[in-house]
Amino acid sequence: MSSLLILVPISLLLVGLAVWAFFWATNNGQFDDLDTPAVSAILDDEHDRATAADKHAPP
Amino acid sequence: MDGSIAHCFHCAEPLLAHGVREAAIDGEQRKFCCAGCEAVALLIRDTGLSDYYRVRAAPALRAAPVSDDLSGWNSEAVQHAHVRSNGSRREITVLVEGIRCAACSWLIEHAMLREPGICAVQVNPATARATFSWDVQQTALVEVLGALQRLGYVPHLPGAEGDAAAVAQRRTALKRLLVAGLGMMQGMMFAEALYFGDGGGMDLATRDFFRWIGLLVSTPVVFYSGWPFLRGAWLEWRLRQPGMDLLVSTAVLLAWFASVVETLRGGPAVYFDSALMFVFLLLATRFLEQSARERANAAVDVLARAQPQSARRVQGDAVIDVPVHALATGDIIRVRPGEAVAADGVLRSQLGAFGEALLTGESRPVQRSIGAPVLAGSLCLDTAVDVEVTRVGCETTLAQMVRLVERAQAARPRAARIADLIASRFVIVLFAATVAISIAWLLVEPSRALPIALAVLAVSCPCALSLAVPAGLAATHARLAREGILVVQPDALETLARVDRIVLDKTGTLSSGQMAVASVQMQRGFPRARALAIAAALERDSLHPLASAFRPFADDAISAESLHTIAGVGVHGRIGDSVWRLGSAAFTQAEAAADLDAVYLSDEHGVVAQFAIADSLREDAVQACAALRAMGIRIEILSGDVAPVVAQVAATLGVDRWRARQTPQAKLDAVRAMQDEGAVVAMVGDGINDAAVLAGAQVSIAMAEGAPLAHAAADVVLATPRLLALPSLFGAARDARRITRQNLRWAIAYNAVGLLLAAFGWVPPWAAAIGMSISSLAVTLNALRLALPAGNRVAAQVQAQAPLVAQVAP
Repeated sequence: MSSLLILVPISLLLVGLAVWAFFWATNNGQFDDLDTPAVSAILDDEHDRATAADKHAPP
Repeated sequence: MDGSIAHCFHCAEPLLAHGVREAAIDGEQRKFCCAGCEAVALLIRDTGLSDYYRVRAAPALRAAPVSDDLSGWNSEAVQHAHVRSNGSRREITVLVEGIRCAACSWLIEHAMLREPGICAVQVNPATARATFSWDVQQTALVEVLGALQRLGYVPHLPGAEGDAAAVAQRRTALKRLLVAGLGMMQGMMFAEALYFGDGGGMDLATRDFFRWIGLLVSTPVVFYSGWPFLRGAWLEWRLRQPGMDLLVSTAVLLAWFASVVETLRGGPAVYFDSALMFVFLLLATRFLEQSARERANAAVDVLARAQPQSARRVQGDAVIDVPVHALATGDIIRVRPGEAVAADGVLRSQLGAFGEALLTGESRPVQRSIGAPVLAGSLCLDTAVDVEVTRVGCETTLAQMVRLVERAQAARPRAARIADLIASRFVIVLFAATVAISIAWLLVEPSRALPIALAVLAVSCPCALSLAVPAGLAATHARLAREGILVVQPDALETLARVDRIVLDKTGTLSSGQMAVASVQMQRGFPRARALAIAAALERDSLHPLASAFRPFADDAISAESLHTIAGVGVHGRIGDSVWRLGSAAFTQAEAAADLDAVYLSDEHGVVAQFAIADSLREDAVQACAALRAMGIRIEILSGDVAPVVAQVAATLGVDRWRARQTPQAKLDAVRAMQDEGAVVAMVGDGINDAAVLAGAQVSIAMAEGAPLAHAAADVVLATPRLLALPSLFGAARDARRITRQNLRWAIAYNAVGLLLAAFGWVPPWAAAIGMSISSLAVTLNALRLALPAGNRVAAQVQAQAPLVAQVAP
């Protein structure tokens, strides 16, 4: 039973750490937009889009 | 209350000398300070809730000093863009931070109406928006919002500033949810150990160790994560208006305090796990609810953001950037491709292509030529154009649309009000029931009294009941707004679902109002194309409605000189060597047997062509009528036009019931006759000429193309030229009714069964917490189904029941 005296505080410490990490991530805007990042990877960059538009633009 | 001064029957404000309104309430003539109070009082009377006036608490709230600075709301920009005025009344719609469930809206509505000068308050918990209207002679915007702040809610402008607040609110909610989630997992782990320990063998020291750890873990969950509930409960308590938060907080605090006491004195059982689970599951439900609400708002916010914040004004040779509220009527603004037009105006460049998808739902680019109207918020597509501003700020069509949608979202229909009232009375009954059940169990089996009281409080929270109606409405409004359908009257959806007869006007409704050449008869072997081109040249500068029919045939090679318009008969001019005349039979010297409605073209030698001009049917009119019939709605056409035209339109659409040459009065009588037969009639018109008929039908739908939206006297405004919006509107209304009924039935059944089971001790507190959350979640998710577009389903119906149309459809 004496192992509990070490394991339980460790578990609490880990939870504390998880909470701190999550608060940090939230305050830095990691969870503000959950939809766009998933799509942005397959979209062209602003630069690429602009050049593509130039090519297709009528003379 | 002082008897010598007359008070408004509704808001109890001393009546001013002018503007007093009277209405009969419960057989007595009552006086009201404003139309808003009168309307609310009549609504309460009509819904049979006049008891409200007998039982309401009279004293007003003691004013606390306003903590946050509200002076920013006085700025001209805010007043200009967000405040609507109507006589001495002003109205504003704000985003309210802190609305968590239906109980809050009930609180705001009731408390705000007691403030001096506030005539009407409408709050929608599902969109977190509130509309206040007040009398400038009695109060000011800052006072109104100050009163809202004293209730514990923070107003924000819908738009950019509100966004930052919404992000902060969402982040905090997420943090609270995570603390509750991790805390619950830890707490359950220790609680599990305690349950196993009960079986035998755990010594008292270890048991107490686990209990103290449980206390340590649950405290932040109850007081940090559970803070929204505790704060809400405190507000409800202070205002003596018990609601859901009070119920939830009582259950959580009861479980937590009882466990602390048990831990301190080494009693038989602790309930930290119940408190943890309760907080986490409730937070999770509310978090999902909030996300759903944000999604519903997105439709409106997209509209609101369509108007840019700045514009480029042309001044002489220079083009300077100015903020949009600095624009005035008559200014010329330059819009570059890819930019949105900042104000309503008239095109000053020769040609321009615009994207109006947001405004009308029309996805194809729209070509406009010089002099044509351009709407704020439409996207300039290929070339830079100059636009002369005709309407700015809150007078633009876009602003009017946003306002209509916002007002519709903030307005709460009768059904929602009734559900709220039931829920709030239910809370009081529930507290009484809990006390009674606890006492009963104390007498029978004292050790089970506390867990059972907890379970009763948790399981029967009427959250699902008061969510059912607003959640469904928010989802339906969002879906319809996306299709360019604005439901202005909150009760309209309910009636729309019952409609079994639809009356259509022809001009402006079935037809677009655009004139087109329907047929051409040539004489003397004259070439057809040349005749049309000559007619177009003659009508080049004409403003007559018929002239637009020839515009597509204009040919640059043919131009007319010395044009003269003779009002009411026609136009003549010189092309090349000959003088041409275009107009009525007499004007062009056509033969005696001439058709009086036709237009003739003649030169010195006589008539060369005869044109029949008619306004063209909308592209999707046939499809729309087929879809409406498939839904079991009978169609009737009442038109002011002549019989042959109406007959032809009716035949094309497959409508067998039509009447021509109808005056507005005759139309109204026809609608009345149908209603006498027991039909629920929806009237579709252009919203202006047929206002009287629209008002006579149970539901009125206006095609608001070009017409000022705010003046359209209708329950529903179609901001899209597509007639297929009609079947989709009726479909949405029927879906909304079906799903809302499902939700109400489910919520009532759940609460009744849950309460009984819990009272007999068959539901442990943790299961009660799960049950309560699941019921709310089920209601919210079920309502969210309404936000899905129904386009596919309508198309399928049309194909199944009208094979002819299936060939036309792409």
